[in-house]
Amino acid sequence: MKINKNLWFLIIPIFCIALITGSFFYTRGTIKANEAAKANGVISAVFPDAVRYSEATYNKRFLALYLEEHGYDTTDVVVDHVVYARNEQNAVKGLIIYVNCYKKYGGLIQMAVGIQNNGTINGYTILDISDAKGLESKVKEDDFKNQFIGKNVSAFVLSDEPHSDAEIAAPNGARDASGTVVNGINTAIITLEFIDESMGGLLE
Amino acid sequence: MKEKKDNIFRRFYYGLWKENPILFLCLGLCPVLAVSTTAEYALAMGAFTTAVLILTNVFVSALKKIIPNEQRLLGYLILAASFTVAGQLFLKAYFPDFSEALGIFVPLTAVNGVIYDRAERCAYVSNPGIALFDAIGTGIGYTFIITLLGAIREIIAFGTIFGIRLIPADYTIPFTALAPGACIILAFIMALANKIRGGHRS
Repeated sequence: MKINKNLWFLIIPIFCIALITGSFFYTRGTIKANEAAKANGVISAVFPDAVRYSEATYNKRFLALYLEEHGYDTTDVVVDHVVYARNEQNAVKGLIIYVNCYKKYGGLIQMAVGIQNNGTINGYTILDISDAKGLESKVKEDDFKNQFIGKNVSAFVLSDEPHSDAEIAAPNGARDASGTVVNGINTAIITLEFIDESMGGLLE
Repeated sequence: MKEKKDNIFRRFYYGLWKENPILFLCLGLCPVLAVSTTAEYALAMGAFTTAVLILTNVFVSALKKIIPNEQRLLGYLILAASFTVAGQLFLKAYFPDFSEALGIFVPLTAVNGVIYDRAERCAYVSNPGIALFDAIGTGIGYTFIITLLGAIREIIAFGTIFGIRLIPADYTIPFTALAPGACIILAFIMALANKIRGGHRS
């Protein structure tokens, strides 16, 4: 029986499927380990003294309304999820708030903000950012990050010449990304207020 | 034998310089402009593209007898996409920082014009040896130009090269880290290359 010549062409898709499947199974363990290490790194970077973490439950719709009441556009900023940072006695020491911020001229910054019960900022980590490679690193640098750490204000603002705790200087060439990060951190502060209120002051 | 050797070196030279995909063919410019903000990222993108290009070229050449002429583009696409996906998985597993930094341009390598150009112009009509050297030459040429562009942009925009500071941060011009800055610098490189090569583009 003569095999149609075109049937030989099927060898290529079969080879490709085998290649992709083999690569997937060969690398999946390492990829999983990398992702777990990254997630642990994020949590410990923004809340190093917490020993346990648990997912917070809250009404997302009410949080969106609460943010809108405080003047935040929920199409610009979305709280993805919130994690409680707990101490050895299982008491909540603060929150890790995962925020997705949409930038002024398109693009997205995903960040995790660590914030103590009293509203003091522990720090933040950029999880993903769609900006020109290199420029985006400016909002990841310690010089910029340190402007937030240890401060307890109701909202941060960008300023060319910062004079108070609430004023933040934007790095040269990254003003748009800096403004987006400030917006994300302000959202985290409001989210802490909302969760505190909705839990009847449990975070005291 | 000598003729075959000459042909191999000619393909290597053409890929490297005379038919350089960036300088003279203007192919694969999207990742070139988007990823070359620093020399390190540019080198990583160039190396990844070269790896996919070499594998696709060799396999297209080796399998050309079973790829029907009318469906050859489909054949190139399946092979290039498969090598890209496999490469992406390895990049994610063993070089997660680069995988994150290069972002969407890693999977987009599957539709990079350079790969299809070499597959159509060389691999489909040559033996695997010639296709291999053509891909190596083209890959090195592509990687060299994207890294050169990345190095120039990094020096001007951030005052560093491969992370080593050359110029104080206060004297940098961040504009060159953006796409319009990349276009201007690439235009200068292309103009210089055309001046060196001489004559008109074919």
